Amino acid sequence: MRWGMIIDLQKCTGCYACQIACKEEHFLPPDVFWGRVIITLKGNYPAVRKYILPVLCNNCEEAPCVEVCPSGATQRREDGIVWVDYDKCVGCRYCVMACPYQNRSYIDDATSKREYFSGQGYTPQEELGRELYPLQKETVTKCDFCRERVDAGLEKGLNPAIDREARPACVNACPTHARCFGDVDDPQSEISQLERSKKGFQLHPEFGTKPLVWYVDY
Amino acid sequence: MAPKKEKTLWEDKWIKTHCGGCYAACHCRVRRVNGVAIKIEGEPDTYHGARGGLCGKGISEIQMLYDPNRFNYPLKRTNPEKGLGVDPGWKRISWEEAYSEITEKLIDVRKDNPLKILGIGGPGHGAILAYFQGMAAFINGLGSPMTNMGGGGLQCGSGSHLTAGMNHCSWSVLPDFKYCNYAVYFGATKGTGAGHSAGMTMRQAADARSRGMKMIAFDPICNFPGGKAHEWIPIIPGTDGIVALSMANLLLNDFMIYDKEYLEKKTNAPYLVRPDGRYARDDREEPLLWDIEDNQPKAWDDTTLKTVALEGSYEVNGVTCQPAFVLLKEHLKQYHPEKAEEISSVPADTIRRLAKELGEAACIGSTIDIEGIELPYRPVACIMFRGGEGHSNSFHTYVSVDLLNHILGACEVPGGATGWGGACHGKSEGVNMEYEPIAVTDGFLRATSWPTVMPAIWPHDKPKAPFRLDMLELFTAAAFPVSFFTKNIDEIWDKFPLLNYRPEVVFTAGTNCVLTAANVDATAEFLQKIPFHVDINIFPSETNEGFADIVLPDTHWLESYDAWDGELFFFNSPTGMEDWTIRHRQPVIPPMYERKNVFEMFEELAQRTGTSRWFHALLNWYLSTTGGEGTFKPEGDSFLPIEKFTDTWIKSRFGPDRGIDWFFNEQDSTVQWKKKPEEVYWRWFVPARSTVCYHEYLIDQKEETEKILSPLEIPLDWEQYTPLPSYFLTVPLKSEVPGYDLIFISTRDVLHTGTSSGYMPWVVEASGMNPFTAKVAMNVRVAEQKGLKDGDTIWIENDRGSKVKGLLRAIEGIHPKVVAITGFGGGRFVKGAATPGKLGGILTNRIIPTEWGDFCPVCLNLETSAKVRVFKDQDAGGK
Repeated sequence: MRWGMIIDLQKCTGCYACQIACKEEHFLPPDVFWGRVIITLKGNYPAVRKYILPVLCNNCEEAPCVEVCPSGATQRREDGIVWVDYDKCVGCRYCVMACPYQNRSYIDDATSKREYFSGQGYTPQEELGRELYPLQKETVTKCDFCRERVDAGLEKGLNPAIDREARPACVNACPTHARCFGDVDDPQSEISQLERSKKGFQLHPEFGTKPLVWYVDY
Repeated sequence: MAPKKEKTLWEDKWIKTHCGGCYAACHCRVRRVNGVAIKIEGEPDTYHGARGGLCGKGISEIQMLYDPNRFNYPLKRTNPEKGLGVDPGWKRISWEEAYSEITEKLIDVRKDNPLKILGIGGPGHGAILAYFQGMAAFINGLGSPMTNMGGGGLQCGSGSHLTAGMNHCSWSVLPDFKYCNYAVYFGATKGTGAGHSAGMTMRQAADARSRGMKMIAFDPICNFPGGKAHEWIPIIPGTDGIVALSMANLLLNDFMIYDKEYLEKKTNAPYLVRPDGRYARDDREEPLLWDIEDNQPKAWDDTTLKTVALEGSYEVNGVTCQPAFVLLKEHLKQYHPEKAEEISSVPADTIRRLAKELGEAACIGSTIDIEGIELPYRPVACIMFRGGEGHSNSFHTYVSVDLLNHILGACEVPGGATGWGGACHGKSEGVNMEYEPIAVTDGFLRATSWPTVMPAIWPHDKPKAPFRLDMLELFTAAAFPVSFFTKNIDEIWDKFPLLNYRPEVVFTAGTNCVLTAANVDATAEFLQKIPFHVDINIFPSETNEGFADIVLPDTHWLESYDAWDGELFFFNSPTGMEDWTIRHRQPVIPPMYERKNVFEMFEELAQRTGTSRWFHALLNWYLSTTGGEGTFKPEGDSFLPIEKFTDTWIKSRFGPDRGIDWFFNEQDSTVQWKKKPEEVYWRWFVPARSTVCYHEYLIDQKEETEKILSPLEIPLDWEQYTPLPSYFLTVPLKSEVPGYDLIFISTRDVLHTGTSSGYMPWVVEASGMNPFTAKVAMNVRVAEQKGLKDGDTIWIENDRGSKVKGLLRAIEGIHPKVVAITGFGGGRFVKGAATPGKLGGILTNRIIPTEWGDFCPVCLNLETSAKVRVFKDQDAGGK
């Protein structure tokens, strides 16, 4: 089985809930994003269309970041999740350069210490966050489908495709329910059915990285 | 998130409450770990919201809770100077000092003239309705009826509240998303960030689009509604009305597509109109219709009425009369698509195609079974809110758009245009929430679901010379009063003998009205003249910084109880067949420092000023209008602290044995029950009609209002007091000052609510990544013609000489005649707050004029666009 995600662009309204929920979930410091929302316009007036593209690490099957990592910190699990072992990461940032989707962030010393209310200290939420979810400075971070939620959920016998406690925070946060998480190897799973019925596509398949994130559009 | 250091955890709990970030009050759950709120998620088990999802603003509210710049103690101004950006020199004082000083002032001013006390409230982050109706009850209890609500005085939905109120018994109208197949948005954002039921509409609209509902958006900019629509149709701001009228003309006169049965039985289309414009009436003064079968006139409530005439001419008491429908059809002929194109820029062929598509999609004649009840199936809806109706032609624009729903019979039926909770039969479920639309004067609907203090509610009072400074006695069809923030309003007041007094005390609550309501400088001038100003808020704002004498620090919604915002059925409850749900707010953490809940402040001040009996009576009255028992004992009892207040409120709804403990513990903070089809789709179950074809009451309104204003030489656009839905150019569109060639507007941003969202770093951070937010958008080719390019700093100057500076985004997706800022605008300068200035942007309301006449003369909605010119920064000498 492999975990994957599909995002329905017809449903998404570009509200940034996913991006912000990710930051809240992982106590990410200012200017670090594991998920982002890219907004642009295409076409010439009056035939214009707005494109809203929520992006995150594609957890690629042929992940260049895994290949270039000299320390073995970036690893791909059997269930498809690509993750970073911060204890092994040496901060060389080869992976940042190798990722064709630009979905990795390097946490330098200054970034790791930054406060949201600059010069006014950490809020209680930030303070507790650093205790609960310590980000190691001078390492590279990225989305790993909320690996810790998935694993803790599985340990409790939950299904990360269905149970809120076990599935990625961005999936829970979306007000339009545009995101679906599940087992892409199970043809009966909701994600597989959506991918088939709505003709799911991956971003830049020409990169040959085989992303585990699909999109559907109209 | 799985905590890494489990040994440090002594608490890990989810608390159910509802969000206080905007009007929507979406249900949510908050995770508290070791006494710290660390995560907010939407509530998955109720329909009030996004069923698990929550918008980015709501998620970010934790940052507002813990904002180190919040007010913690009562503060007093030490700098006697007031004005925009003036340092108040705050000094910490005790609650006793604050209450004593306020009480002394209130008692003195009350003795002199209670009308000198004003209240201005908006939806804040401490409370929503407490800042509106709670404030209204408190100020009314003091003896002054003057509370300028509606977003702190911005008169947000005056056009919508009047017409949606009269025709849908609701604050506003949205598609019945579950069944709607064709939705036309005229300046509305339902589903893309609208404040009303934000989470619910995002969820329902997304499901509808996914199911195949076609969405058409008339919008000057291709951003939120335009960006999600199947068809974005650029339009000149303030011209939606003529497009809607043109579509109505095509449906009635060209395509002959209309729901005859609906018009006959549910509207005033068959009401007989005399040559003098008034209805033909019987001896009881009830309007008459023509019964074709009995060949005689009969009153609307005559039980023998059979088939009524929509067409023809009939003689009643020797006078030839025609059904209003005939007059409407004839009147609409002037709005042919080519004329609409000339004014709106929407191509005539597009108008024809859309009218045809809309009419055909309405499936007139078809029915659907909803839980065993056969109902008309009309899966089309035309909706409008601020973008379309925030203009000086607000009333006629809104009625013109809504007319389309009525022509097609698509009102409060499956798939059609529906309001929020027009009827509720909660008593059979053990909840004291009971009301439904009733037929009153002339057979028209009266909304019983919303606070009866709203003046626009039908029937309207006869206009009278005002003794109130907000002049609501004169404009009785308006939901909100004449803006206090109208430039030189004193000159108008001076003309009325009864308005020979001036405000001496103002309470502002949850609003930053100096930036958000109307013209910034006119608002500042108004506030500067008021000798004593109390602001209730959670953080520094341009309003309290510049003008407040005393600041009272409110609790954030994550620190408070509240029982009012969770039952706003007329306003933000789940629509369609989704369950009725009541959830109240409870604190996730106790209030920090010396913050108090706003209700505690009102209760304490009411007691100290000896007005609590009135305050309590008004709360009971509010509760009883919607079926509550009203258990606030008027005298001899105190409802402090907030727990007692909440307990009393809950008992009013659920009975004497069901209070705060029952609600939050036994009921797990939620009471839900199933809706009935006759509540949701009440239209064919109530014996009342909508006034859609002919607004006869405007004839009387005009006569009476003119009698009062004309001798005083106070001008008003009298033309708009006309009974048939018509198009009028807006003030900016009529402006002919040479060189001012563009129309400026601001548009809603899903991440922003007024100015308050600018306090949350995650929201500000995301806004910086958005190509639209807080940037000045202009069509790329128009920019080129003017020698401007993307990234330039430009000035925008209105035709009355006010200007602001902003960063240009030259884009394809905007009408060539328009300059637009997305989000409230920004341009903030308050000191002592961390993030507002980081948003950038412009001070939008500096170039919205707000002079006398810059409003709709019928509903008083403010004009929100302006005629402008733009030029590069260096042309202004680098100012």
